[in-house]
Formats: sequence, structure tokens, C-alpha cells
Amino acid sequence: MAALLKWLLRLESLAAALAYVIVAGLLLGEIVAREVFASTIWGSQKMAVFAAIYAGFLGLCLATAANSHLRPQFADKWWPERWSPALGRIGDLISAAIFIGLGWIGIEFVSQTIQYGDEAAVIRWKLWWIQSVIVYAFFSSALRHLIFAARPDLKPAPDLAEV
Amino acid sequence: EPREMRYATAAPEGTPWGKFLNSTVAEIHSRTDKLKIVPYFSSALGDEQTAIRQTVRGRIDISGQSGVATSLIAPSFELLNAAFLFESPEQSDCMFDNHIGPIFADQMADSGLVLLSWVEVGHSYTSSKSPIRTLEDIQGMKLRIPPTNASQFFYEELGANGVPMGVVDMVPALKTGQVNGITTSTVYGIAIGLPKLAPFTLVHHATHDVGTVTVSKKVWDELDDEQKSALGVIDEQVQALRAGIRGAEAHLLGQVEAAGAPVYRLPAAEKARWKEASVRATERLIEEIGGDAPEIWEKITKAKTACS
Amino acid sequence: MEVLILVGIVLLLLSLRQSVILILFVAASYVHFVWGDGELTYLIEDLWTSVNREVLLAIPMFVLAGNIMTRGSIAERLIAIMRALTQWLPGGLAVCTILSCAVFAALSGSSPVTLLAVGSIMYPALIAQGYPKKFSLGALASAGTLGIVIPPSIPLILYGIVTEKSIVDLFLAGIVPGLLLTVVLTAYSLFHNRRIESQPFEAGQLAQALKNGVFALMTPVILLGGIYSGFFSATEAAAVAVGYAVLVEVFVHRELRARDFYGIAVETSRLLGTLLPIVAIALSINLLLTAERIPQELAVWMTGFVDSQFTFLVLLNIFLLIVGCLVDIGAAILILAPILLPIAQAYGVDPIHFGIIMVVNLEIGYITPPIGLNLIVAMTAFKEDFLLICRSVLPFIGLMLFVLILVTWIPGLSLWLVR
Ligand code: NA
Ligand code: NA
Repeated sequence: MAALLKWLLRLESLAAALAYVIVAGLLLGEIVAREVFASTIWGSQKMAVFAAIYAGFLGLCLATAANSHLRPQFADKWWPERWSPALGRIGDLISAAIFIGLGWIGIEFVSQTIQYGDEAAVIRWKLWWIQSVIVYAFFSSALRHLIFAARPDLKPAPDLAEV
Repeated sequence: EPREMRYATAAPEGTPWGKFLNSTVAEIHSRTDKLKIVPYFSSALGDEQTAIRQTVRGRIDISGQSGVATSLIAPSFELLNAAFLFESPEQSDCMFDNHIGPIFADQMADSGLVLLSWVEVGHSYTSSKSPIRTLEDIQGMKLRIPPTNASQFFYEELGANGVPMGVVDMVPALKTGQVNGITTSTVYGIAIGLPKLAPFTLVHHATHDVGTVTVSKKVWDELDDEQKSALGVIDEQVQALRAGIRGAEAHLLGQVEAAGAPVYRLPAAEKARWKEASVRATERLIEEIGGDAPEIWEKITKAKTACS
Repeated sequence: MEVLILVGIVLLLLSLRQSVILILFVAASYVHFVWGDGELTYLIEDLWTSVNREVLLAIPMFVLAGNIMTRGSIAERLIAIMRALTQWLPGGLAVCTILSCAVFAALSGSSPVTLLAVGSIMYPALIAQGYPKKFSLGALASAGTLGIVIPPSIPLILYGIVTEKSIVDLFLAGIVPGLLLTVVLTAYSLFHNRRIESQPFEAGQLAQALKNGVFALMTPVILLGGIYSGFFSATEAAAVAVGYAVLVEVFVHRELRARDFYGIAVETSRLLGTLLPIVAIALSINLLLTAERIPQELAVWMTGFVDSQFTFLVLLNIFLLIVGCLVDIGAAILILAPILLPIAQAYGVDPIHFGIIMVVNLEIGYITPPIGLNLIVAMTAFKEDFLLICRSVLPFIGLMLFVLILVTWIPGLSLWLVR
């Protein structure tokens, strides 16, 4: 399971970093096209938005992997200290359940998009394959929480990102 | 208990379109007490693209939107944005009143929308910081254009440096010099004071934009005859809106002129050169849309012949 | 009753160790179910609508640029210049701290990033030169908040997104209030440290610092100059910041390598992964409130018993200061701006001015307990006692309240550059 987590993390990290390179490249390319070549990269902003959405939702997975989602800890004291390990695992199971529920609703939403043939304005890309990253992010996060519930030793200590 | 219906529009309440919606709603309420229309102005429920999608899903009941937003449901709808498609407002009225509805009705029903009416958006025009009299003046000019393939191809063929952006960004872009001119709808552009920032007003009537009012098919199928017929008010009142928008265009342009700012109307000989560019742009547009576009374009051309 | 159940669910999830994002998701689902149309796919639809906007692009790009500049040596070099410029003043290093924060704020869109970038260098320096701990912490935590008033600013971008106002106008409006805050904080630092010995001015040191730091110093010039001269939009400016930071750190300063950038990109994505869902859920709750016409009804209700703009602004500021104590600034803007703006407009407050009032208020929230992000960042970064940090910012909160009053009742401070 540790190997699976590692492999997934590497894949998602690579994809997210690549997505940001694409975002910056498209935005900078658009400026150069406009100011230097008096033209435009058609739909560059829209494509950049989609790349940023990919990066953002892959980031959701990465944050789950690093245990860095914002979590208020004051309520931890409401239960006896000795229940803590058990509660940690139960918490992961609940998180997994919520993410699976969200993923399920997400599938329904994306299948409606497919059914209606929704397209992006201007560039006319089919929207479902961009929206699918949301569903992916939910299920990938669910998978991680399930693994953390089964093997709490694989769960990293909370690492609060600095906003 | 009247059935409550959400009506979404991008138009702010104070504009001719906002006033049209308010008076239409009042008229619908006077005809039936089985409907309660709640208008949402200024894209309060999301931009046009979001609103029309939500109308398909039945989350919004009725939506009014530009042709561009409609083309997301029926891609060939963008053909109506081809430059210089209409010779005159009369021709366009004739085409919309008698021919164009049936061309798109099936396609819209397939996508889950019922077309209630056409809405006059008006003619496009250009405000610029330096005068545009001839094609030469527009070469390489950084010009805000609506983010559509139709305008992109047209201004590219004209030789301008078209910068596609939404309406929210265009005034700051003009102020900072990111663009040196703006092409937008006449009533909207003059109403927000573009001629003060870019004093040269060019009347070219390159596009005559017509939007749609649509009801969610899911919702429509649940309405009874009285409710359906009350919604017919929207189509009845459209004539008044047409007159209102065209009157506003003339009035606003007159105001600009009266204030001493140059308003230039493209003369026939020069317009002919612009139309040449539009022919090439339209060919590209038909190819870009693909699918049924060539077939629909033929139908539109037929309608045009019938109305000339 | 429905509200009580919602509170119960939230508390239960909190005690079962759920993250803010998941709690928000569940709460939003509940809201959709009970007060909305009961269709849960609408939640995902709103999530999609919320993230599918071009203006949101600016946020990851500014965060990315901030991370690159913090990791590289741009911050360090800017500080060296400020130091050479101010060391002849009594309390020169304190002045240097404030000015460094202000300059770094002009290229960072976030307050904690500003605090960290300047603080990690200046805090040890201040202590080494004999500045009191309390003053040093207070100055850094407070001047660190300048990042969100002096453009570029992520909260101003969020305000622009959610109220559909021009981000360039908002950035312009933030300049004068930001400078005013800088001047007030600088004046206080001079006064407070007037007895601390100064060092002689050295032209050679300044020349060397300028030579080392000229590319760093050009960053705000290129960014803001580019936006205001129309070479690029506010969104594109964020990408320019990334591109410029990469060029400078790799080719001029030679401090970062390709491998470092991979780490920075992954870290940024992780950070955005914690932020984006919160932004999206907040925006989707907004759409729901609008559809149910809550803001309009609130405006009508409020204008029913508050009859003057003055009273409204007093109440507004008190309300926002309380909110700032408790809530994260991003969430506060996303949820409250669309609700409060129609009310403010009913009292004749300009929407751009209103955005600045909100941001300055919530800026103070960065240094007010219990939840003040800059306090927490300062505590972790400088390894100091939380209570000491809370006490250290007290005089600065007073100064910032003074500026808040000026900004609130003199609209011209915000609107002067916009018009
Ligand atoms: Na800033
Ligand atoms: Na606070």
C-alpha cells in the first residue's frame, strides 16, 4: 500500500506541475502574441483556466496525501484521550465516505454534461473530460483516506500549508 | 398558489432589456395568477453560459441571452453573428419573424430548451482612440472584440489585432491601453460612456445581434395551457423592444454627436471592402463550426433571399 | 430547527476530525437539500461554475511567483537595498523592516507570504541589533499585512471576482491606502525607536546593494507598470511575475534549479488544493443565497432601521472587525461581499471603495486573536510565545484602526487613482 501511495503521489505531482507550466506558458504566450506579433493564441485563456482547474483539483489530492487540509483541532479534546487512535481511523473512514459520496454525485453531474453535449465557449472542447478531474480528485482522496484508516502509520503528520 | 419561475438575464435592471423584462413580467402577472415570475438581473445567477445550461437542467426556468450564449446549445447559431449577414433591420426582422425560428427550433428542443422569442440586442459599433475611416486605419489596431469565433475571424480578415475579452474587463483595458478600441453593442457601449474614453465613434453595423428567450423544456412540459399562453406575452412585447433598442441607438449616437465628438458612418464604397473581408471570415466560420453548419447556412441564405 | 440540525452536524464532524473542506461540503449539501432545490448535482454544478472563471487564474500564478521569490533571493536583495537606504536613520532597521514589507507587498498578493519573506531575514537582524522583541514581532506581523492592500492582492482579486468589479480598478484603489498605512507604520517605528543608535550612511554599500538587487527591484516596477500601462491584464501580470521570477532566479541570481521549481510547483498545487475547494464552495453558497434573494431582503431590512450612511459605515466596520477576528479573509470576502455590497450601495457607497474598506478591515483581522493568520505564522516562524505576539501587535492595531477610519470616511483616498 505504501508503494501505491508513493506511485500515485508521484504521478499526481508531475501532472500538477505540468499543468502550471501550461498555465504560465499560455498566459505569457498570449502577451507575446499580442504585443509582438499583433495576433492572439485563440482560446488561450480558456485553455489556461482548464489547466489551472486540473492543477487545483490534483492539488486537492496532494493536500490529502500530505494531510495538509485545514482542520480545526479544538474539538479533539471532546473525547477521552485514549480514544484518539480509534477516532483517527474512524475520522478517515468518514472522510472516505464523504469523498465517495461527492464522487458519486460528481459522476451523475458529468454524465448529464455528456448527455447534453456541453462544450466550452469559444474553443468548443467537450466539457466532460475537464470536469472529470473533479470526480477523479474525490475518488483519489477517498482511496487515500481508506488506506490511512487501514494503515494509520502511512498517514503523515499534519502539515499545514501556509496560505 | 402560483407557480414560481426564475427568469435570468445578463442585462442590468436599468437598461432597455431590463425595463422590457420588468414590463413583460407585469403583463404576464396581469394575464394569469397561476405564474409568479421572479427576474434576476445582471447575471445574478451566473454568466449567460451558466444560466443557459441551468435552464436546460431546469434549475432556472426561463433565461434571456445573447446569440453567443445560445450557440453553446446550438453551435450553428453562431452563423447569425456572421458580419454583414443582414442588409437592413427590416430584412433581419422579416427573417427572424418568418424563417429562422423553425431552422433552430428542433435543435433547441433536442437540447432541452423551448424557444419563446427573439430579443433585439442591436448593432455592433466601434469606439476607438484614433479615427477609423478606412481599412488602412484599423490595420494592427489592438481592438477589444467579443470572445467569439465569428468576430475573431472577421477582425482578423480586416487586419486588426483583435483582443477577445468579456465586457467586465474592457473599460480597464481601454484605460490602460491594453486595447485602443472596443467593438461592442451600440446601446451598451455608449451607455457605459465609451466615447468619453475613446472619442472616435464608428458606425459600421457589422453585426446585428439577436438573442433568445428560452424556457426549460422540463418546465414547459409541466405548464398548463393558460400558463403557456401567458408566457406568449414575451413574444408579443418583442416588437416594442426592437423599436426601443433602435430608438435608443439613434438617440445615443445623436447625443454623442451633439456633444461634439466625431461619429463616422462607413460610406458604401468602404463598406464594400469590409464586406469582402466578411465573406472570407464567414467561410472560415462555417468550416470551424462544422457539423450541420453548411446546411444551416444554406437555409439562412434562402431566408435572406426570401426577405430581400 | 433546520439551523440547529446544521450546527449539530458541523460540530459532530468537527469532533470526528473532519477537515474544513469536507465540513463545508457536507454543510453546503445540507443547505442545498433543505433550502435549495434539493438536487445535489447542483452543488457540483456550482463548484464547476465557480472554478471555471478566467479571473481565478491570477491566484495560483501569484502564489507560485510568491513561492519562487521567497525560495530564491529576490526578497533578500530587496531588503539589502532598503537597509542601505535607511540605516542612517535612528531606528533605521525598524524603518527598513516596514519599507521592505511594503516593497515586497508590491510583488506578493498574500500577507503571510510577505511576512515570511521579510520576517525570516529581518527578525534575527532586528534582535541582533538590540531592538526589543515585542516591537520587532509587532512590526513584522503588522507590516506583513500590507501584502493584501498594496497591489497585487489575492483578496482584492477575490472581491473583484465575486462582485464582478474590475480588478485593475481595485488594485489602483489599494495603492494610496497601502502607502498611507506604510507611512503611518514607518512614522511610528521612527518615533518608537528614536533612541536606538543609527549607523552612518554608506554610499558604497548602497551602490553594491543596488547592483545586486536591481533585478529584484525591477519586479514591482515591471508588474505594476505593465498592468497600468496596458501591456498586460491583472491576470496576465501574475504569469509575468512567475516568468520574471524564474528568469531572474535562474539566469541572474543563479540560486534556483529546475529541480527546485518542480518542488515549488508541487507545493503551490498542494496549497491551492486546500484553497480552491473552499473558494468554490463559498462561491456556490453565494449563488444559492442570491437565488433565494437573501442579500436583497437583508438590504431592505437594514435600510428599514439604519437611516444614514454614517451609522451604516460604523456598524459595517464593527461587524467586519469582529468577522476578521474569527474568519479567514478569503472566505469572509467570498461570502460577505455579495451580501453586503447591495446594502452598501443602497447607502451610496462606491463598490470599489467598499472593496477597499472590506480589505483594510479584514487586514486588521490578520493580527487579531483568536484566529489571526499572521499571528499564527509569526508564532511558528519565529518560535515565540503566542501571547507575546498578541501583545506586540496592540499598538499597531491602534494605528491601523486610525487608517481604517481615514479610508472609510475619505472615499477619495481609494478612488483618487481610479477616476
Ligand atoms: Na500585494
Ligand atoms: Na483575526
